Amino acid sequence: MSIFSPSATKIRFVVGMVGIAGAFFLPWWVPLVCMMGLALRYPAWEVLVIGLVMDLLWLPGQGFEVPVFLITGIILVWICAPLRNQFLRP
Amino acid sequence: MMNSYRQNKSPHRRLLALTVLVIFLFLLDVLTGGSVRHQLRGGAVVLARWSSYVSGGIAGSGVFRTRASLESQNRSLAEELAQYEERAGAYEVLRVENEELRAFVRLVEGTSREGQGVTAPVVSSVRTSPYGTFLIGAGEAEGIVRGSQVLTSGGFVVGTVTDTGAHTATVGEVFAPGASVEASVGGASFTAEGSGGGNARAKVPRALSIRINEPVLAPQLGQRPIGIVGSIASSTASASQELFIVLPVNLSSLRYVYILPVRN
Repeated sequence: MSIFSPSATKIRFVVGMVGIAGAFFLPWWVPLVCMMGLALRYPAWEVLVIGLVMDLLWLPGQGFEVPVFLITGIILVWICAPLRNQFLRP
Repeated sequence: MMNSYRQNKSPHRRLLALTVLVIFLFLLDVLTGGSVRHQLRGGAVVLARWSSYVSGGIAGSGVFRTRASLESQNRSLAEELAQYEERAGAYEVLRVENEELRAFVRLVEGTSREGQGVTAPVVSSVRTSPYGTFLIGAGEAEGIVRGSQVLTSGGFVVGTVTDTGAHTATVGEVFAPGASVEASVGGASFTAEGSGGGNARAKVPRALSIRINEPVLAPQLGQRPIGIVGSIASSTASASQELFIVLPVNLSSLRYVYILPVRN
């Protein structure tokens, strides 16, 4: 089954929405789990958006702080790319 | 092979472009002093108010009650009685809110020598932030500035304002994960290491006599209480004892906080 089939797209959309909503309302580990799930399965730009939203919302804002979630998102997206290409090729 | 390459090229380009875009947005936010994050936090406050309104409406409508309990309620309650119960419930909500606000009035009276502070609603859950922060629904427009101390109705310092928007502010918890604060119990000073959720731990010499429930003060926060001694772990084989410090109020249940003005 292709990863671009409608059901896969729906799953990706739902997980992405849970991740973005979770950045506002749910415990911090929920967006993190969504980021990891999305990055493992899809070349998902949502991972970067969730990471950015988490850091913009919750970083204390005292000078420059390390944006842990954004860096995690970038690492997840680009480190998982060869893995996805190897095992999840359509 | 060529088809596969062509299929994979486009998503990678999009990802690369978006990676550059999110890094640009983050740097733009840092360089402009938080213009992006203040907009986002303002949106978060509006979303929090809406979700609170909607969840209150759903809970009040009884949609998620079980059928059995609804049938039982229908059998046992007359319509008039239900109306009285509703009124009693509304009265209880107002009574609790009134008690909380009265506590803040007492707090304000106690701290009035230092100038007028602001009572602000907590608009985010403390569990949502991985950095030990939470949002309050008052900001620069209400006179809140960075460094202001944030107190519970009991006068315990829960944190300090770390960032301000127009009508929102970010509070960094005193006991945020990884944070450390100078504290003292019964005249003995030590460094408390925060572990999040209003908890901290510290190592002190075993010779010190410290009791459970003794208040923990913070010299750097104007000798105000930041918690109480929750428990003590001590061993005869060790020269030190470990204190577990807790905030005597559940951070998740905080609805209002009092923000002290910064003294010049």
